[in-house]
Amino acid sequence: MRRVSDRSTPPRPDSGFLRARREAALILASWVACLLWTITYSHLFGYRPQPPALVFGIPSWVFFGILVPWVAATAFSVWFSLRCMTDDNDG
Amino acid sequence: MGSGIDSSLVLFLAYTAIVLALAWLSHRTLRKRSFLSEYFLGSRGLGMIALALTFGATSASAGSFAGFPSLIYAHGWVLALWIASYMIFPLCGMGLLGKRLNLVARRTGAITIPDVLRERFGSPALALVSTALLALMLTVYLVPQFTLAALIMQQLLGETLLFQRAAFGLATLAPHLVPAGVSSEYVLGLLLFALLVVIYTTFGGFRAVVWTDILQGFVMLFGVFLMLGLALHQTGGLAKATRALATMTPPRLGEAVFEASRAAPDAGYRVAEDTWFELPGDGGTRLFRTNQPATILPGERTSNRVKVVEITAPEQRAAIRAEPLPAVLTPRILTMRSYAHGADSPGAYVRAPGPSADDRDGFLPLGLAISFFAFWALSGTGQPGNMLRLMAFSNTATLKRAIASLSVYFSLIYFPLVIIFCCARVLAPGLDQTPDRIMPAMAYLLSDGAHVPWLAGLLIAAPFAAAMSTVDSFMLMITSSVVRDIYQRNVHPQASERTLKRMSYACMMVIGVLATVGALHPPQFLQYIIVFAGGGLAAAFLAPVALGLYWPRFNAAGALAAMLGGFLAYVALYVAGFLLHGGTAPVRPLGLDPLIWGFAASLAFAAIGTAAAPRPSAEITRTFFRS
Repeated sequence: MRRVSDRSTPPRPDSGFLRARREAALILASWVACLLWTITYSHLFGYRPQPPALVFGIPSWVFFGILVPWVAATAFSVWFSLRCMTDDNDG
Repeated sequence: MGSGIDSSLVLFLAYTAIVLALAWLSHRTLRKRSFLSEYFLGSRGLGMIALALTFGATSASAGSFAGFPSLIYAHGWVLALWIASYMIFPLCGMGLLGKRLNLVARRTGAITIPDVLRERFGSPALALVSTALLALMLTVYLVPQFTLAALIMQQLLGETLLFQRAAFGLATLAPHLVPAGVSSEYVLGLLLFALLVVIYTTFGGFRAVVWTDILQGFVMLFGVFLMLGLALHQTGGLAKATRALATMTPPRLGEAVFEASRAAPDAGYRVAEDTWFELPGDGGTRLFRTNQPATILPGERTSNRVKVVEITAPEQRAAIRAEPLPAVLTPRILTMRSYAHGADSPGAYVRAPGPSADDRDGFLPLGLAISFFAFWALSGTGQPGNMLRLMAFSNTATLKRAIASLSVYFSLIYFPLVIIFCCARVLAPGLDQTPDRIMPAMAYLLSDGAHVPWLAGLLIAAPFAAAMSTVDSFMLMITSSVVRDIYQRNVHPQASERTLKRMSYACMMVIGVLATVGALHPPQFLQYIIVFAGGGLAAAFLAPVALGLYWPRFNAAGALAAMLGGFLAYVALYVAGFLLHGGTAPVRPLGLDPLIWGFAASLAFAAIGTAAAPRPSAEITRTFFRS
């Protein structure tokens, strides 16, 4: 009976695999968020014919559309990698 | 200038000595460990700094320090949008595949990417196809890297007496090594670069490559910081530079000759590269700058045709004073054309899509901006060279800290490069027909402006380091493909370690010779070849590797279909572009880059191939996905 039961129950998915897959999904989501922020803001304010205002010497559409998300993405990457990614059994 | 150039030689020799010392140290370590795992993967022992900087330095090829600056110079602030996905690239490039790839490589003992594919899918055919694609595309990628490195070497050492004498000696003693139409200085630069990189990669292996990557990573960071400070100081601050940029209109581009009022004497007449000159025009004086040297040969009255740039912005014209040409010389404009997008439009350099000499839609229309945001993330994640590094770190904690470090490192490199070369338009206007020279030109300009001419050598070391760190990694990968995936796996599985070692050394030297021969005739369109080869690798490898790591149902048929389908779809768009337009530009359906279509095709073929074939064996599923 025991052997039949062992065969009919497939081994469980590896927990390390499931964690890595969840982290990969979050990383993809963060890439999409950066894409949406940067492209939407740049489309709305960077492709205008008028000369842009400057913020700290940088065209405002570059400052708010690229530099600010860049700083945010870097902070997120540091936080995500150090705080959210799990330590797994490294074989 | 002279002291700057002499110090360039000293700096270069010091740099070479350090690189060779690292190779020697690495070779000593190599002798104490298992050859294949140590030589090709550093015994999987990369620490945090090593992983972050070897990943970063391999990603930042010579293109980052030669092609990218020239694009910023030519198109302005819009390049911040072009490169914007580097904000998240370290997290994507290392985080998406890192943990799984490292674990799978450890469990199976794989030391190359084809090794991983062979173990995951149990398919020697897939391993062979991937090895062939890898070796082919990496070799294509190597040639422009060698060319760029030789050009940088020529810039760095070209004016030193020792180098000039050696180049003259080469042309005299071995004229068959100097092809027609190629300077002996270029060939000498190429040979020196090839010799250095082949020696230290061959004898040091992966560990030497990583150690030099760390050195090169710090050189690049230091070079960028130094240039940023000097550029901002010499333009009077970023706000002043951007305001000046906002008043600029794209120049007009053309060709000219210089005519002498009498036949040239024995010494001939020469107009140096980057000479300003004026001509009368309808609305006042017109201002031009040569972008190539013009020479009138003895007894002749007309020079060769040279590229010239006409400055169109009144503010710029007023700020630049041209020295009068010798009275005997008169310039004559042969052709002149305006930019296709942005001509006579002040502010073109501070807005999107950026001015373009050839494209009516501008440099970066919105579709292309979206495309590049995806391109850098996909291309970087899908590079086998980057994947290999993810197989070499010591534990997950190292990966996590390396992602954090590289995120900060790339932020400190790429956005400052945009600032530096926007300032370059203000400091060094009128180089629009030869923008690839802007990096060394800025290095000399900034160090001369700071009255520290020896700094130029240090600044030019950054692109040289970038070229070197990419070349060494790729040479090692091609060698591992040939020795491990073809010879050991298919020809002689019982080969002794000594045989494998000799084969690896021989293979490395053959690759070095082949790449040198390929670069002896410098190919045109360097940046296009680099982009093409990098995109092709990502189109072929990203989906098979990523799906193989995360999709248990994915099988060998799906992986093979994904690899070939993605690669062929990518190449087809370049072939279609060539057939339709006769140039190097690919067809871009919906404005999206061929890599996006190649990746989409790869995913589609993966799904079809997987559905058409049986599930992977229970053993494979258990090994890779079950506990």
